[in-house]
Amino acid sequence: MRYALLYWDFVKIQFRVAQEYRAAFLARSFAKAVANGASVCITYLTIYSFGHVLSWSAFEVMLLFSMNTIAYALAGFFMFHPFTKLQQRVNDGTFDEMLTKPLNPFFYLCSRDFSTGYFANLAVGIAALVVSFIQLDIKLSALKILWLVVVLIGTGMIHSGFFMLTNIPTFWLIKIDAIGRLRSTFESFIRYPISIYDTWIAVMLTYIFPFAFVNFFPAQYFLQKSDFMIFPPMLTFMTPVVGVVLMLMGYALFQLGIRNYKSSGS
Amino acid sequence: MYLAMWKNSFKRCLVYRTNTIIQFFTSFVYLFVTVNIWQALYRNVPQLNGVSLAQMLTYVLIIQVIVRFQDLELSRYYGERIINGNVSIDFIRPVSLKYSAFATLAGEVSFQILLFSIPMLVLGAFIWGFVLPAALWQWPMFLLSALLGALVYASIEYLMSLTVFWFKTYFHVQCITGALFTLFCGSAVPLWFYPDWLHAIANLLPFRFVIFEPAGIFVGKSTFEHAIFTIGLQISWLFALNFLGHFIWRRAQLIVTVQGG
Amino acid sequence: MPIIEAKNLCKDFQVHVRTRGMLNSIKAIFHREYTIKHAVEDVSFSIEAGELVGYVGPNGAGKSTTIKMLSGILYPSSGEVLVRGIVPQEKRRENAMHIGVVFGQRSQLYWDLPLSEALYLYRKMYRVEPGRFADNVRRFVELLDMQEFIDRPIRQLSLGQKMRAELVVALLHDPVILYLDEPTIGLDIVAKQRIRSFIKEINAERKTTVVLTTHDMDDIEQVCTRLILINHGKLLYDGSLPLFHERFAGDAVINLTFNGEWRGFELQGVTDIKQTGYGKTSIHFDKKNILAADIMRVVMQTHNITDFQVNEPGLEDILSNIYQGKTIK
Repeated sequence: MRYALLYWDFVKIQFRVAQEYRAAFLARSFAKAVANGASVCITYLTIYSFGHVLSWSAFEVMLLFSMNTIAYALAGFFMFHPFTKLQQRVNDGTFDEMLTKPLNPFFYLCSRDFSTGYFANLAVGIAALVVSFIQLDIKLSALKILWLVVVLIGTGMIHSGFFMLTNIPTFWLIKIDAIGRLRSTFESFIRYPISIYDTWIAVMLTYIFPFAFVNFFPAQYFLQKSDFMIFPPMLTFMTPVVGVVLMLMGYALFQLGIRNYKSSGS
Repeated sequence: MYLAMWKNSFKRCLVYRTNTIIQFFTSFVYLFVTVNIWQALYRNVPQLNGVSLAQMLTYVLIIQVIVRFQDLELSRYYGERIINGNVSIDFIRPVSLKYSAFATLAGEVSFQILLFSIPMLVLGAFIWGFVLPAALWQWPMFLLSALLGALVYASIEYLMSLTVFWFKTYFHVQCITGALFTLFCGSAVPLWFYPDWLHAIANLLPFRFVIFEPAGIFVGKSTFEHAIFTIGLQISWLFALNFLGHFIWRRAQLIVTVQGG
Repeated sequence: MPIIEAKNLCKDFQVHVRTRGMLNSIKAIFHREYTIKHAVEDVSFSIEAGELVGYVGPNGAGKSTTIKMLSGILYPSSGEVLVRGIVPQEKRRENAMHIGVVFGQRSQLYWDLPLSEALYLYRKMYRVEPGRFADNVRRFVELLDMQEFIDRPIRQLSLGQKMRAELVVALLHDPVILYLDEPTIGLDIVAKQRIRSFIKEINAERKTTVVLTTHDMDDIEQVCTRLILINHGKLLYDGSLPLFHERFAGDAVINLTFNGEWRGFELQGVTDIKQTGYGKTSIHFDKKNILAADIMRVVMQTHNITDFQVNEPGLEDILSNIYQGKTIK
C-alpha cells in the first residue's frame, strides 16, 4: 500500500515536470495525435475499397489497430522509459541509483522514469476503439465493459513484458538496440488479423512471441467472431494471463540482471 | 567535394554490420506483412478499380526502393543543424545547406538502395512475382519521375524544417509532415483505392509525386501523356516549393538577426 | 564494533577479449574469450563510527569498486563485507535507509525541477518524520548557503550548486554513513572549500561516518583523518595521515636562483639535481638522510645564490611516486 502511494508521488513529480514545459508538452501531444490519427486512417483505408479482408470488415480491422494502440500507450506510460533508458543507465553507471535507495530497485526504476508522453496515443486509440464499436453496432453490457478494461490492462502488460524482456539483456550484452528493433518488427505483424498469414507465422505469434494476444484473440469475443484457425477458441480469454506471465518473466530477469550488474564509470 | 561526402557516408554504413543485418530483416518483415495483407485483400477478387494483384505486388516491391529516401528523416537533419546554429555559416550561401545535405545523405541512400532495396526487390520478385514495365518509355520516365520525386521530398522537408526557427524543435513538424506523407504519398495505400473526395484532396498536394506517381508509371497505370504531365507538375512543384523555401528563409534570417542569433 | 568491516574482499570482472577480423567476429558470437581482471584483491579494513576516511588511488585502482561493494551496488566475488552488522547486498533496502551516497560525476536529482519541489519525495522515500526533516532542510540550507537557488531548476545550477544539492539530499534522512565518490571533482576552489567544511561540520555535529574517494589531495589533507591507499586492486596503506607522511616520505625540494654558472656538487642524500630554467636549479633530497641546511652550506660555498626556497614533500608527489611503482620505504 505504501508503495502505491509512493508511486503516485513519483507520477505527480513527472506531471510537475511536464507542467514546466507545458507548451512543448501540448504541442508534442498534438503532433503525436496527428501522426497516430493518420495511422488509424491509413489502416482503415487499406481495407476500405475492398470492403473486407478475409472475414474482417474495415472497422473490425480498425478495432484491432485501436487495441494495439491502447496497449502500447498503457505500456508506454509505465514501462517504456524505465526500460529503454536502462541501457544508458547500465552503461554510464547511473543505474547505481536504483540500488542505493530504500526501495525495491524495480519499483524505483519504474517510478523514476514514468512517462507522461502517451496521452496522444491513448486518446487516439480510445477514439478509434469507440468509433469502431459504434460503427459495428456492438452493444456492451456493464460486464462486457469491465472485461474490456481487464483485457486492455492485460494487453498493456503484454507490451510491458516485451519491453522488459527486450531491454533487460543490457545487463549482459551492452548494446541491445537491435533486440528492441526486432520487437517492434514482430509487433508490426499484428496490425492486421493474423489469419492473413501462413499458419506457421500465426503459431509463432501465438506461442512464441504472443503478440496475437494483444488484439487478434481478445477482439473476437467482442466481435463475436470465430476466426481461430487451428487455435482453441479459449484463447480469446487468455490475454490477462499472458500479460501476467510475461511481466513475471520480465521481473525475474531483472532480478537476475541486478546480480550480474557490473556497474561502470571510474 | 560532394562526391567525397557521398563516399564517406557510404563507407560509414558498411562498418555497422549487425545493424545492417537487423535493418534488412526489419525491412523484409515490413515488406512481408504488406504483401500478405494485399494477398489477403485480393483473395477471390481478380481486380479492383482496374488494379490486379500482380500489379499491386509490383507496386509494393518497386516503392520499397524509392521509399528509402524517406528513411533519411531530412527534417530532422535540417532541424538539428538549424538548432545547433551550424546554419549561420550557410546564411551566406543558403543553397549549400540543401546540397551538402543531399550529397551526404545520398551516400546513405545509395547504400540502402544497393544493399537492401535491390536485393529485396529481387527476393520479393522471386517469391511473389513481379511485372516488368511493358513499354520502353516507362523505364526512363519512371527513373526521372522517381528522382524528381526525391527532390520534391527534400524540398518539402526543407520547407517544413524551417519552422524550427519559430518552434525551436523539429519534432512536431516531423510528426505532422510524416502524417501528411502517410496519408497522401501512396506508400501504404495507393491512391487508386481512395474514396473520391480524398483522392481529390491528394491531387492538390505535392506528396503523391514522391511515391505514388513514379510507381504508377512503373506499374503501367499511367499513360504516356499522364507521365509527361506528371513530370511537368513535379518540376512546377519543385519551383514553387523552393521559391517558398527561399522566401521563408529570408524571413527567418530577419528574425535571427533581429534577435541576435 | 566497527561500523564498516571489509574482510578479504575480492572483485573480479570478466573482460572480453576484442576480436579482429571477420572470421573471429563470427566465432565470437558463439564463444567469447575473456580474461579476468582483478579489480579488488584481498582488501580488508574496518572503520569505526564517526571516522573520516579518505580512499585514494589512481584511476582503475579499484576504489570505486570497493565503495560499490560497501554500498551494496556490486556483489563481491569473494570475501565479506558488513555494514552496521548486515550484508548490504542481502538487505539492500535496510542498508540504504542508513546510508547516503553522492556520486561526483552523476546526478541523482530531477533535472527540470527545483530542489524545493522534489524534497518531499525524499522525505517519503526514507520515511523521515516531517519535523525532523524540516529541521534538517533548514540546517543544511543555512550551512551551505543555498537559499538563493533552492527554488531554481537543477539544470540551471552551477556544478558547485548541484553538488551542494546532492549532498543535502544524501543527508536528509540522517544516515550514519556517507559515501562520497569524488565529490569535489570539477569544482572551483571556493566551492571545494565549502564542501569540505560542510563535511567536517556534519561529521563533528552528527558523528556521521564519512568514506570519501578522491583524486584531490587537498580533500584528504583538509578533511580526512585516515587514509586508505589502494592500487591495482591491492591495499597499500591504511592508517593516519601523519604516519603516511612518515612512511612514504618523499623528497623535499630546494629551489635555487643563482648568478653565473652552475658548477654542480656531490653530497650523500641528494637524490636529484635538475636545471629548471635560466639561473634556476632544483635539488631533490631525502629529509631523513640530510638536512636542507647542510645542502645550502655546501652549495653556497661554490655558487652565488640569490634566492632559495625549501618545499616539503607534497602528498601529490608521494602518491605519484607510489602510483608509478616507485619507492615504498
